[in-house]
Amino acid sequence: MTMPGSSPYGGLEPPMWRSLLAEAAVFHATRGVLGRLCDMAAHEDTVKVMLLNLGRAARRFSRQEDDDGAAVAAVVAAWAQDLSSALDDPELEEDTRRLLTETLHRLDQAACQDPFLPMLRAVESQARELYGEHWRPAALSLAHRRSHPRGADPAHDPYAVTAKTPWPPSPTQAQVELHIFADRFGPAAYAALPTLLTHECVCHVPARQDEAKNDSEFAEGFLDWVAYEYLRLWAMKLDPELGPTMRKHAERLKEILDGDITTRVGMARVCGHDAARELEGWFETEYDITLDESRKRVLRLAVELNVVDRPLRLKNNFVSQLRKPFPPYLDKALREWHEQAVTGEELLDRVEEAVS
Amino acid sequence: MSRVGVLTAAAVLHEFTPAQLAVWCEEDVDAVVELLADASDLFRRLPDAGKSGAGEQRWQVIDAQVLRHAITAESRALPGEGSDHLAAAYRVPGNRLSRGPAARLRMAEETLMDCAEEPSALGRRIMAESAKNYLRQFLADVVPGSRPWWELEPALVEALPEHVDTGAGTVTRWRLRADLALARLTEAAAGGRVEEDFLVKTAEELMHPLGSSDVDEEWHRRLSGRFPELALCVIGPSGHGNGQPAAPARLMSTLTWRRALTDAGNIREATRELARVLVRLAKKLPATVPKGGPTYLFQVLDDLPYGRERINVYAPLLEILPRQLRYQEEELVVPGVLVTAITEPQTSDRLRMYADAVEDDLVQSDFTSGSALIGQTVYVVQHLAVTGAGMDVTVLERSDRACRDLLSLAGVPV
Repeated sequence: MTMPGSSPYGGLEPPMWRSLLAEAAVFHATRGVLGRLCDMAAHEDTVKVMLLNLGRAARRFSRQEDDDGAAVAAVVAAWAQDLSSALDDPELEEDTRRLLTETLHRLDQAACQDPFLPMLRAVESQARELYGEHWRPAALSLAHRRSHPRGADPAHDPYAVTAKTPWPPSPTQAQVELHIFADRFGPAAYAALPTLLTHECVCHVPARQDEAKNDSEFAEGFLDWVAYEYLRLWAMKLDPELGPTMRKHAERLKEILDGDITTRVGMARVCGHDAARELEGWFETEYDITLDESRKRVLRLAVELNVVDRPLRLKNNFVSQLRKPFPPYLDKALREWHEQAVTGEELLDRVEEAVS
Repeated sequence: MSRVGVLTAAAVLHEFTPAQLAVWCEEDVDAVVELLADASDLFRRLPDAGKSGAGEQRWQVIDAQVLRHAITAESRALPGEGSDHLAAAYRVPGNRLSRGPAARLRMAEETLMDCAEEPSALGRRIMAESAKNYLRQFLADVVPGSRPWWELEPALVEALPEHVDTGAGTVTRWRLRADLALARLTEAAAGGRVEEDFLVKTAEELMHPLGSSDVDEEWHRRLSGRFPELALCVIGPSGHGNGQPAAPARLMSTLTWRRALTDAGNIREATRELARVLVRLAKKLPATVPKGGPTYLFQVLDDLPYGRERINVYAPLLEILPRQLRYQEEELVVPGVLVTAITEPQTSDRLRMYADAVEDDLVQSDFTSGSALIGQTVYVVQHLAVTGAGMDVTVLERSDRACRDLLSLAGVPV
């Protein structure tokens, strides 16, 4: 239970926390229509203004109220009033009217409950099962950032949020940090949170390696590709109502991030994603298996390699060779891994021997 | 594709609990348990090891081939689902595919730069190998041919046109030559000393003018800065470290590069000058130095009659030498940085002591930037000048001049 006037996250001042909490409470309550709200806001001014008003109300009441519950209730009431006023307009388009009406009805479910931690826990429950004994418990911290992570126009890149897992983790747990630019925290950013958390939980939380680098083609490229696939598989289990919107915004965020090869992390993404696709294609053609099975083979190898305690640069070197045709020694080693004759660790041994 | 998805996940895992299997598909644990129970021709339950929950019981694929036939048959029976559905969901836009070669080239270059921070020789060799993989793949992207990328030789770069389209701009052939040269040098430096001829050839690769539509000037500046660091590493005295430049070596390489840049006025000319200097330097550095003394800022080349020595010495140290201590300058190996001189015994002792003091201070430094190392050196040189001023007060004036010169190379206004 959070005391009035405090924040459960050390990195957030209470007013900032209340503002994020109030907006997130609204997004959580309306998550079944959130995707449509995002889409309609792109071309319908009424919806765009509604969402801007929600942000303003959250910032205003988070400063006026000392109590989380009172702040959330005030924001919800103000936005409900806003929606009702908009619905009074007789010239409102019919599809907009239907969407706003449904949104208004869903607002009844808005509650003063932290939606961020349950999101991490939902992702964690899947990732824990995936990594088994290698799983490392994860804690969540929330922080406010003062600008958009890519300095982008919010109309083209509404994902004003990033995540990271500082390295090295403590002996008992990894810390997953969400950094939110509160001034641009909208429904699209909210819908992208599970994608970011999945990336952290699949790529970084259980990782065994000597260092962390945000321009690693293995950790930020190859594994990132894998994390998107897990997000696609898990979306409806994480939250059946938000699931389809999660998937949609995962794809949109991916498009945006993939579009930039001027940054080092962008280059690593492109190289790692290309490598994963090459390996997927190799499994598919060499073993005459379906695309789904070949993709899952890539996933399995990636997860296995992620928990082998070897230098990150060696894992990067493995990724750097995943271009068809593969070098003969690697082709042979991958076949042996496929036939379960060698483990992921032994596969990395072969990579190291080839360099030495 | 719910059932097919579960069967496919089972084919990949082979042995699993329903809870594990559920993570690999879109179904929840209850649906997976039900499906497994209904497919007794494909899966068998393993003997219970004491776990009671349905989601924790272990299952195994009975026959992988039979399961694969079932997957194929069920995939075909689902119109609009299966592979087509997945392929559509993850289709890569054409413009993104075209960014691959450019990304691989930049990845190679950044990996080579990152080697500067990697402490282990094996680590740097692995990184250099990764960079070469990307460079070869880039060549495979831009040179039509049927040979696998890992068989492509660096010489293939000569077959390229002067300007190469990467799909996201153009780069020059010379830039690729320089990248490949840097990759070879990085690998060689990680392995220890290299032949002088190899260094000269590498330097020649870097002498050619670069030019491209993206990060040309910035890249050339970084490349040129990294080259003397590596070159000093491979031509420097052996027995010190594992090919990773120590702080004194970084100081020397930074000064060498910045001096060349200041004298030449632009990066291209500076690179030419640098190549000439390094070739000269390769001939002037001793193979080994005694342990325990200075390594980079003072080296004895020859013992001469009457206790005199032929030495290489860091040039600013001569500026703070009291006039009573005699020496004869023989050659400016690197103007303003390294001088070969003939010294009297007392002069050698004093210079050795100065060099020791500077190097001792530098090796304890946490700084990585060249400018910071220069600043740190200025501080020590000034301190040494004060101690020498007891013998000769002109030392202070000469020290100020030398330090101003050093600070200007660090970009500090004086």
